[in-house]
Amino acid sequence: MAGTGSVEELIILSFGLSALMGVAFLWLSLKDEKTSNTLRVGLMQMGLLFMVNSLIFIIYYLRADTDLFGFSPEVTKYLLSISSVLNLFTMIQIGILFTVFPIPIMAERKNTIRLGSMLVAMMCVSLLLSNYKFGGNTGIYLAYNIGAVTAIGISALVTARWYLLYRTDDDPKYRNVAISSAFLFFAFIGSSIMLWPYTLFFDRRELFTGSFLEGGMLSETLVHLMLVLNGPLVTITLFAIVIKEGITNRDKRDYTVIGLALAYLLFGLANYLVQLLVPVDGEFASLWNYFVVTGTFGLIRPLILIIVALRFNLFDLTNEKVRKRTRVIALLIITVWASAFFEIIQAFIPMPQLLSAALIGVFLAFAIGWEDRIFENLADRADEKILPVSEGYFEDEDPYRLMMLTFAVVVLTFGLGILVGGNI
Amino acid sequence: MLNEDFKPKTLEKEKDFLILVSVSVLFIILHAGAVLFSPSFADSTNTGAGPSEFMTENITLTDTWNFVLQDGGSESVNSAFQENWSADGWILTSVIVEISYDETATGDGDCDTVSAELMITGDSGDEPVTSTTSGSVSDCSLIILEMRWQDLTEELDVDYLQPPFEIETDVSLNVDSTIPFNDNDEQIDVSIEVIMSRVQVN
Repeated sequence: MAGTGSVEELIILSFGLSALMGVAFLWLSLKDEKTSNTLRVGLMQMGLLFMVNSLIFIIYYLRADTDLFGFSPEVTKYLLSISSVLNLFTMIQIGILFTVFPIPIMAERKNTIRLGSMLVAMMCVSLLLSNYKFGGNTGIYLAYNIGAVTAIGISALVTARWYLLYRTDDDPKYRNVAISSAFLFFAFIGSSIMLWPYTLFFDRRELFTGSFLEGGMLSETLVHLMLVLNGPLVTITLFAIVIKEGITNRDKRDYTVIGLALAYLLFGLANYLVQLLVPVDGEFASLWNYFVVTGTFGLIRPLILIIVALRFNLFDLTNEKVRKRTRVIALLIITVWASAFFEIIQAFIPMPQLLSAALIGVFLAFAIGWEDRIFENLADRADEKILPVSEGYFEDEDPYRLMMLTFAVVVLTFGLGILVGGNI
Repeated sequence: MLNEDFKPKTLEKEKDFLILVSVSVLFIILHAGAVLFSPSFADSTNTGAGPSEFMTENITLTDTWNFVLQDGGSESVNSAFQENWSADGWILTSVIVEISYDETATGDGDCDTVSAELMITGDSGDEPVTSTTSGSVSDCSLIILEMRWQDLTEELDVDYLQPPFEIETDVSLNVDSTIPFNDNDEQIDVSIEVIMSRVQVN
């Protein structure tokens, strides 16, 4: 079985994938003025999430091999706290994304801005207070859990509402709201969705699996009680999607959503069995945990969001220039994705380099053919309005403003990371 | 305030969402009950012993040094605690240092003067509840230096010292012999007892 080397390679590939996705979404959101501002803001928020994720991957890599860079234990501690605070910020970004996409949940733009600001303020206050009270790893872990509970709570509730209200609606645009929110739910809450057996079987989950943090002196009962708030919400939403897709009329059925729901259902069960049957301190368990966590948000998330962006016309594919550049980006993304996918396979089933290269080649040949056909089909219906967006909700400059604000908050999270890192 | 599309609709339209919320609330209540009352969710920091449901684990480490000091000389002894202790959740709750010596010179009626000072470098936290960090004797009695913090409690109000840190004891000797050049090489014994504590992990 592969070891640390595979983990580092997957970090590099995940960074590449996140950076590519982030840059592509940012560029498309800023340059494409034909698409509705609401969709541009949603696309921008997804791109910014990938950019922050790529920053996190850089820090993971720096921490993965401290000897290579000659970092002192003190610097490593600060890197841990900065990456943890950035992780907390991505949870807040996910919460914000669900309030603006597929359609904003607030009636007015100013209320959406207030809601987003409140979430960022909550992140800072909870981080400072928990650091003041507990300090170090424990403080960051508590703040992260507060952020995760809030963001996952918002995401699951908004998804459940859009999905159940409009999944069987007669208006196809509203049905698309339901479908796109389900996609987003699988993309961003994937790792929590996979924990559904723990909720359903009333089983205790390992709190720190896949986490770089630890609860320290924090009572485990308190952490479990916090997780109780969103575990059932996410699990019931997953089952609601499975049941609803099962009883929806054939003409309104969406096979991608069914496939995703069943995949998460089965993979969640497999993950549960691995945790149950494999010794927790063994090499297989630690590799499995790492690849499950990184795999879901490093590999599955980009794939789902590409589907969302292309299927719901989040950028203007009628523009020849945009279409050409998007195809190049898509090819790059497919290549990096395939390499990362085979990196995971190789970690569990060692195979000669030549064989894995050949498999990547075969995969790419099929993927490139697929990409060609998809883009041709998309170009034919690129003029269609897929989602019921209101044109005047966001201003033209809002995607740019959102990008600059996020940049400012990332600088702030670095500051907060350094501040709380001193206590680790 | 909410988008028209997101606002509550008729009961007929809201039926599915209401069922989801009801089932979720039911599960949340059941899970909260399971976390609070089921043994399978019992906090690994709890053992069920005592009314506070809070158990701590202590480890006592001892070390001894013997060295010879000459008149006016001094010696430092160090016990270093590395970062891995912190990673395992250990904190410092007590340090006791005992310095003993005997008057070795035959026929010398006066004991020598031995002074000692205890200090901890590397981490700062709350002041100990009992603290004797320096002492000096000239009657051959035992010098006891100590720092004790309050026991690890659930309230977690105390900022305990966490490794890495170094416990340093400086010992110095002044010979008060009534016989010139009689006892220039005193044997000093230093023993240190450190108690590290943590919340018990099953």
